[in-house]
Amino acid sequence: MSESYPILLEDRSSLDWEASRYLTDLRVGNGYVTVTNTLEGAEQLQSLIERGAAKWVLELRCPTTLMSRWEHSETPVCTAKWDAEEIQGELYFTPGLITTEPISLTSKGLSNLWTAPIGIPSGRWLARGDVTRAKSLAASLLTFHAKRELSEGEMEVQHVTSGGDLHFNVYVSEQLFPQCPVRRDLQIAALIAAFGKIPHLDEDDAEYGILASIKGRLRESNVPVWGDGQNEEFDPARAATAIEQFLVDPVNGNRL
Amino acid sequence: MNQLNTVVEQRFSDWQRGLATKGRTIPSSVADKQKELHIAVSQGSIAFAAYLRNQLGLTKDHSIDAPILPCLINPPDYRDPPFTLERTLSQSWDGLIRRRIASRPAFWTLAHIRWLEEGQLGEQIEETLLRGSGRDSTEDQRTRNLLRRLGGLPHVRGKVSVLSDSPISRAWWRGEVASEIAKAAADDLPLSATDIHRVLHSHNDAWARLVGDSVHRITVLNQPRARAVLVKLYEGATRDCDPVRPQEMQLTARILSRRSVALAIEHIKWDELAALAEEALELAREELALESQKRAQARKENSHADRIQSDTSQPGDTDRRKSRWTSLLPFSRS
Repeated sequence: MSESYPILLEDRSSLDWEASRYLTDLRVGNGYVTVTNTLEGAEQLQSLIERGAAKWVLELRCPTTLMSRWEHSETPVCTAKWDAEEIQGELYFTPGLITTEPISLTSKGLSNLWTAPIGIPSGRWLARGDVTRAKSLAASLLTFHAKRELSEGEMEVQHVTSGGDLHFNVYVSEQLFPQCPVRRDLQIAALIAAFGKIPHLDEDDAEYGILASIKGRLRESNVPVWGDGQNEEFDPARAATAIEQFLVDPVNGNRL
Repeated sequence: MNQLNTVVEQRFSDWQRGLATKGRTIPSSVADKQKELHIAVSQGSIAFAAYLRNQLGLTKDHSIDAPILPCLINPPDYRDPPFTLERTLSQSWDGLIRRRIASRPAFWTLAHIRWLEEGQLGEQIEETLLRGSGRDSTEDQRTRNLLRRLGGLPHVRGKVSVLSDSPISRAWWRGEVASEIAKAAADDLPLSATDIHRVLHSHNDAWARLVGDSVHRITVLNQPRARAVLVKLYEGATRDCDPVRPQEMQLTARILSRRSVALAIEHIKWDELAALAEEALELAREELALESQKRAQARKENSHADRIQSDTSQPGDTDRRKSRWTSLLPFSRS
């Protein structure tokens, strides 16, 4: 019953391919994701793509709404879109390369674990990327912490870059902390504060994928961005609420 | 129809948490709120709808954008909708409701407010919403029945609650998934959306397997063709008078999930996928039969050891001997 074929994994946990690498660059926008797939030192896989025996795929999966959808591409760039009305909660992306017809691999590039030729039927993974979970911008950018030194009702925001991407730690008084997961006004206030700091960061925002994502979404919404001499036009409140809105309480006559 | 105000949703969450705790201990504040709820229900549809509006901060002028029921529903049919009713609901609402809103218990509760105000659930709402299997004699149990039925009880039963606990919501979701499976496997599975819906409805375990596992553990089951092939197994088993037991299907799904490490289920040929599923079911049955044999053997040996112990024991000596015998047994009791 079990099947086993060489598979090139992005996290490099597979020993099947000796010197090859599979890398993905994922950019999430408002209702879409674009994956750029890169193969290094995997000539066999590359030639399969070129002759149409393999194609790039991207699976979108939202367990809460029981949704799973696949997009395909013959080029390394694969884009998938979704309608906001079909997802709720976490959305997962799995990129990779699959066979579109039965193929045979030689030993070129494979580790000594494999004895060529290796026949692989159609519909099998040849390369698979890390599963990525999409989160809301606020969830990606902010982490809340309680700070004893703060007086009741106080908040402070500090940026960190130690995790590889830009992130903000939001410190609130101990009395406020339990309310953070459910009070959207606190979340938006923190996001505005974080956006206020962005133009003053010393780091080059090209280094941080999240800043590129934010700029992309703001430009889509025609909201002024920071940098390129435009810092005076950039309004952190406008920018933050363009991406994550405050709640609106129902008023008479509003439908729910 | 597909908008839900998040302030109302927060109030809904607070209201539910005030009525049902995660644990078995019921604080007096919760018990008081449960009593208030039961009084409201006992006063009839309009009074209960007014109670719900009040709890969610909705004045009587706030119109609720939710579909109406296509027919009046009596209590037994509400609690356990027959297939024809499920199909009627699903087809009446085709294209009206989107998955995002349908995955939120607050939406279905708001819909219930509308149905109560329009008299679509009749006047026996205590029977409809509170009554359960007969063993639920406490106010807490009946409260939970009501909350599950209105739209699910997510803080206690998780995200799957809206899919499986609320009869009306479940009916919609089964129809929705049946349509998706029918489209995805149109060239391969000779079953219409109605036939698939019937399979999901008739096999009590089928829906629990497909949604429970796909939300929590075996997310590869979200793929339409994975679902299609499991439906085929259920349908084939029924036809062959060889029903698939819940444990068998759960293990089959796990085996298929393990296979998805190498194969992309959505992209292999249908005949191959169907054969793999049959093979997985066979393997699941073998594994379960083997486990069952081992358990029977263990019970037999434990029983034999107990008989020997009781034949040779002295008065007052039972506990010491039992512990010695337990340590000699090759199998441990669970």
